[in-house]
Amino acid sequence: MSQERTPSIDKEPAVLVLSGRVALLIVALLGLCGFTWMAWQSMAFPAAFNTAEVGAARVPLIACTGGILSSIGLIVQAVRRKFDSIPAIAIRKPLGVLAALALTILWVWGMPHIGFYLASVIVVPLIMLAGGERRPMMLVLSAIGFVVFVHVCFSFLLDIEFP
Amino acid sequence: MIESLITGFGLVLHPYVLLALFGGTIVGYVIGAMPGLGPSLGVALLVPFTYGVDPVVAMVGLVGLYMAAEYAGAVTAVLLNTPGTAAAVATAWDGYPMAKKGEAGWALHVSIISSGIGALLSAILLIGTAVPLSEFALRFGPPEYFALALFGLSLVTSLGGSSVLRGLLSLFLGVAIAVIGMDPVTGVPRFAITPDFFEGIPLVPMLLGLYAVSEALYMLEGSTAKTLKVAIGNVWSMHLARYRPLLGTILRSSGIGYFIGVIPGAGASIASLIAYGNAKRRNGTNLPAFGDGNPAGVAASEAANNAAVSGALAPLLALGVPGSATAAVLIGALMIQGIQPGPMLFVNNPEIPYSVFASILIGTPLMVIVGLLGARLWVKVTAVPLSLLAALVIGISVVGAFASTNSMFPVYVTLVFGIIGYVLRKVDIPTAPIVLALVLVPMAEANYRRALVVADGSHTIFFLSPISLILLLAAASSFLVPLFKRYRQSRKN
Repeated sequence: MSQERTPSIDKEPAVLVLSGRVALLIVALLGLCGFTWMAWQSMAFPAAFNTAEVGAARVPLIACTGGILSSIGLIVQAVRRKFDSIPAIAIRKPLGVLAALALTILWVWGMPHIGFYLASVIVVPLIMLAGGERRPMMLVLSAIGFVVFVHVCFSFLLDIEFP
Repeated sequence: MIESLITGFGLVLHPYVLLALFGGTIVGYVIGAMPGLGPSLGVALLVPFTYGVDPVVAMVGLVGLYMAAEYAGAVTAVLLNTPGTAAAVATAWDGYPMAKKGEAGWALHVSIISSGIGALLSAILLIGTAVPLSEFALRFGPPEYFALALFGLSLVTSLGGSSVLRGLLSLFLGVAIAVIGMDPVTGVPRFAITPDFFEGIPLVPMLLGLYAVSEALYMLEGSTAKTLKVAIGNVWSMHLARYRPLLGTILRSSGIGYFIGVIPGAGASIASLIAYGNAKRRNGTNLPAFGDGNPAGVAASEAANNAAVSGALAPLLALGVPGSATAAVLIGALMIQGIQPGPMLFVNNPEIPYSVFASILIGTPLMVIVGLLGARLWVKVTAVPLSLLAALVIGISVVGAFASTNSMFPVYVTLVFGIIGYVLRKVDIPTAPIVLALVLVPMAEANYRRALVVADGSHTIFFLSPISLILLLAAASSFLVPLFKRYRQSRKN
């Protein structure tokens, strides 16, 4: 995995380039672990209460078996395929995307603590800032506009109470 | 049926319902015109606004949005060479060359009128097929329903994108998510780490995450499309004689679009590509060639992708099986209203399917008028900063998830699935099979177990009923044939 930054003079955004093979391998391994854990959990479900019933574990076990086999298939594919046959993954403006994601998590965490409206007024312009918006008036108006829109549509018209 | 249809018209002509139809159409145009935002995201984002609203108003608004968003992709495809939706890719192939030749107004006119004809013809086909299909489906018992759900799930090989294995991983992930919650027969909690999970993973918040939040993260990566902008010219004054050579293409493409749309998983993009290919073959050596600005290319693609909307609604209304990802979101919207789609919908809630039929018939002329009036306006929505759009999409998703049950749990679900959706898209794992599994697995599992109880544990019950047997054979062939074709293709290469 490597991070390539283009020179600042041509003002091209930063691009994080990840190996497609490694990314696929990681996702497949995560899938394998997840499905194995679910299969192990399914074994503990109570058995069927009569011979006509298949029990609560049948369908989860089918899903886990299929998921484990697909994950193994993808791992084999990622390891055996020629290097250039799995395209690299490019994430443009990786810091902006990560910041937006972190801010969304913060927003969700902050909703029950400081209230939805206050959290929104803080986080909406910050997400826009992470996305590259730099005009102060645009940031302020968007935050106020969003809060007013949500209040009118959800609180006033649909009678929904936010934290 | 005629009486029910008249009742449907009566319901749709109510001022509130008409307002919902108009509002849905406008929002659909705005969303469809923005490259990257498709009808599935649009419908998912509008669902939260329908909580507590009358189900007829909600469904009419959502269907209006679905139709308009499917069309609006053509506006930016013609004028900016940037298809607003995946289904408008083929429209750009001839629409943009026409616009560059100074025929942008004619290209827009063809796209809107073809879309309108496609939508109207397919609505008639929908009314003609959905009602008999639902009456036929009333004969279905647990084995038939299980076989039907299995048939829907078997289409994963055609939804799997570039790799079958990735499609299968996505499908089994969907199955694993679908089984979380109380077991439908014994009530045993499965993988429910907290009591919030007892009811299972809520569908709409999950769809908001998979489609809306992941798309917003994608938006933050991109930049606004910069392509040669062309003058629109006069959209209104067009000679009817210019339509004569296109009429056959529009009629054929509407039929193709409807029947492709009926197939679960196929969708409007495939319909438009197949119709475009068909029109190209029939065009022969006539000029202008396809790809150089032939209006028949625009007509074929647009008639087909709008006809596919009604096609996708047929299995949804008659069988409870989604014909597209957007139809799956519509199922979620119906479930939130406490309505179960499927054959019993025509018995228990006939106002829903018949008002949907009426809304397509009334909404299509509305869509055409709004499209022609606002042709210049829809292009301007591409100028909306992506950072603002991303913040709004994330915000509405969070609000919508919270409003679904007035609790924080659905918000966490939206957030987690937003991240999962973004990662899966980055590694080229399709998300459509997950949605398909979430809708179909509960139906498959409940009916599989019910059938076995009826048959005292014997699996032969699935092969004794002719309908079930045919559906199982169809499921096996729809799973294996694309696999075999891919294998042959890879051997050739």
